[in-house]
Amino acid sequence: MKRLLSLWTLACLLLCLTGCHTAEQSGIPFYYCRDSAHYQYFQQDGVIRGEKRDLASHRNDLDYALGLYLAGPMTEGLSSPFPKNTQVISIRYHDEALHLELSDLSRSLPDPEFTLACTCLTMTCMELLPCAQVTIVSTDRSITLNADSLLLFDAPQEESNQ
Amino acid sequence: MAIISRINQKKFRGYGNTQFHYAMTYVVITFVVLLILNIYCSNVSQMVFYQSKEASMIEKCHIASDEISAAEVLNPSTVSSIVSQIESLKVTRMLVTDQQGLVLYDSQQTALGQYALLPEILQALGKNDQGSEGNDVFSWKYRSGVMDSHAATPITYYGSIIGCVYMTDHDTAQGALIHSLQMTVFQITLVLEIIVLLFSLGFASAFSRRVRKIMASIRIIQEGDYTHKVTMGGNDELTILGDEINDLTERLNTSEQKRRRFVSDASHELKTPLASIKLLTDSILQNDMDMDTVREFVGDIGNEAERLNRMTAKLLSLTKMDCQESAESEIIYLSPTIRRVERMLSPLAQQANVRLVLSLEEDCPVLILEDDLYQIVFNLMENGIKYNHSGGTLYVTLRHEDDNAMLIVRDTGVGIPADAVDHIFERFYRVDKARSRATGGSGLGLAIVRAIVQRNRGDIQVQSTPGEGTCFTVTFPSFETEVDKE
Repeated sequence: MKRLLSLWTLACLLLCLTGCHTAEQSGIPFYYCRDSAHYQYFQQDGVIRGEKRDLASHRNDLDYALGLYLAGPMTEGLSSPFPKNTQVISIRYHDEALHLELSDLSRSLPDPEFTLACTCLTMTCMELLPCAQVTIVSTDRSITLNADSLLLFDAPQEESNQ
Repeated sequence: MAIISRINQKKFRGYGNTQFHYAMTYVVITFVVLLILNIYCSNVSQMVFYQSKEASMIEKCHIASDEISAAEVLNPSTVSSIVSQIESLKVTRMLVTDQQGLVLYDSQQTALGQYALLPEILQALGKNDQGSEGNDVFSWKYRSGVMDSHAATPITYYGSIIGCVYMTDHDTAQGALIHSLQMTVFQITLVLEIIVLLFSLGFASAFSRRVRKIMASIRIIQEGDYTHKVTMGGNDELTILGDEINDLTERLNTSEQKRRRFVSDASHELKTPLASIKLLTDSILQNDMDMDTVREFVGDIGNEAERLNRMTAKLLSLTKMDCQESAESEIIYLSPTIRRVERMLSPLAQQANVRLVLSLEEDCPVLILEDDLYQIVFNLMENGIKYNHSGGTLYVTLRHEDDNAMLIVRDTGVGIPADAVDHIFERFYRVDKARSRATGGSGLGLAIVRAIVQRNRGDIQVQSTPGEGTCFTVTFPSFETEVDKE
């Protein structure tokens, strides 16, 4: 009886591990905000989290990718930092510098949320294209971000060399 | 022998398990209780430090926020200048951001010019539960003797949020204090658990040792040593159990002695007529005798055989009574049965020149088998005639006293010596053996009477004065119901 139980437990464990393995998705990470109820302090994962999206044949189609990104996340616990009607007006990419113009967000996004939304978009664009910096413009607001301009984690003292 | 050893080992292994179970049950219960207490103490201590730290950190953030909000324009130089004037903040790291999260001041100088998108900062800059902007935010984590706490508060200028102050404190002193407190509680828990474990093992060991002692005694008694006593000591249930076993053994011992004596007496009583028969038959076979003598000897053999027959019948009757409970009793009146016995024994009484005087003043019904009642009255009256003087009287009285029916059989015979009164109900006991045998007594009559009386919820008492006579009083509970008289 005990042997049978052990075998059953082992089988369940193997199934779980197999399930965990297949849950790993391949694709490009799209970065979104964690819902406030889902992020925890000190988890070192901050307020931004990526979800893998399969772009298939549209791997180099930034327009398509951004449209897909603005449609919102598929993972529970994540939410798009942009309002639903946000549109990409223009895209310019030159010399590893990406320039994006978005529709008017001044009424829907206060300053800190605008920064957070632009950060998510910048991190996603950096996964899509080899760009050093991303400039996002929305009417009278503009922000330029690169990999070194973000402080997403505040590690304890021993590790605080960011 | 090997088999017995194996059985014993098996039994003792069982006790070992019981002992282990007892000890482990106590240990597990106390472990769970101590674990809960430990977790509770740990959480309470952390909460105390948490509340203290939260108040302190938020206050520091407010101080910095108030000072910085005095500046009309927030830029790295003005903020740095203001912060440098604030004393005694004593935090590990301090960030000041504008309303977009751009770091204007970093005490560690590493994040200057970066956008700080930390949860606390975003929450501090966002809307609060009341719908207005700005929150005081505090978060913390205790881990391995280190307490990391983060606090953020908005910088407001005329009701508008213009930035945020964020502070981090990596507190090893208070962390060590919590750690020390938790370790102390843990050590106390550990010591208590070890004490409980030792006590449990000790208690279980002592308990199982006492149980083993009882079991060893039971095995000795099982092997037939009824003189063995269990000596437990103490004053607990096991002591009572030991005493009960001793009482049981005592009764077994008494019963065994009675059985042995009965077998011995029965053998002796049966041997006597058999020896007579053997002697008489040998005499007939070995000697030339005339027919009259042979007839006389054969008559004697017949008498002895008759005596054997009576004795075995009585023994069978006694054995039957020992084995059977009182059953199928009926409510009957005593007087008709007494009169029937009187009619039966009248010839014997006339032969012995004993006068029978019956005084059945008040009749009453009792619950008894009629055959049993007949046997009681017959045996007592027969004894009263047999052991009476010639010309004596046998008084048989029946009366009602309280709720009992009393049958009194009193003779004016030889009486019973005081030292023999206690033994007359024992099987094969005879006061005067020569006279008893001469009158055909077997030594079983009174034993049968007492057995029947006790079986029918009655009682029998005897009073005797040597030379004056003996009085037997049989008492039965009466039943006041309508029954048909014979």
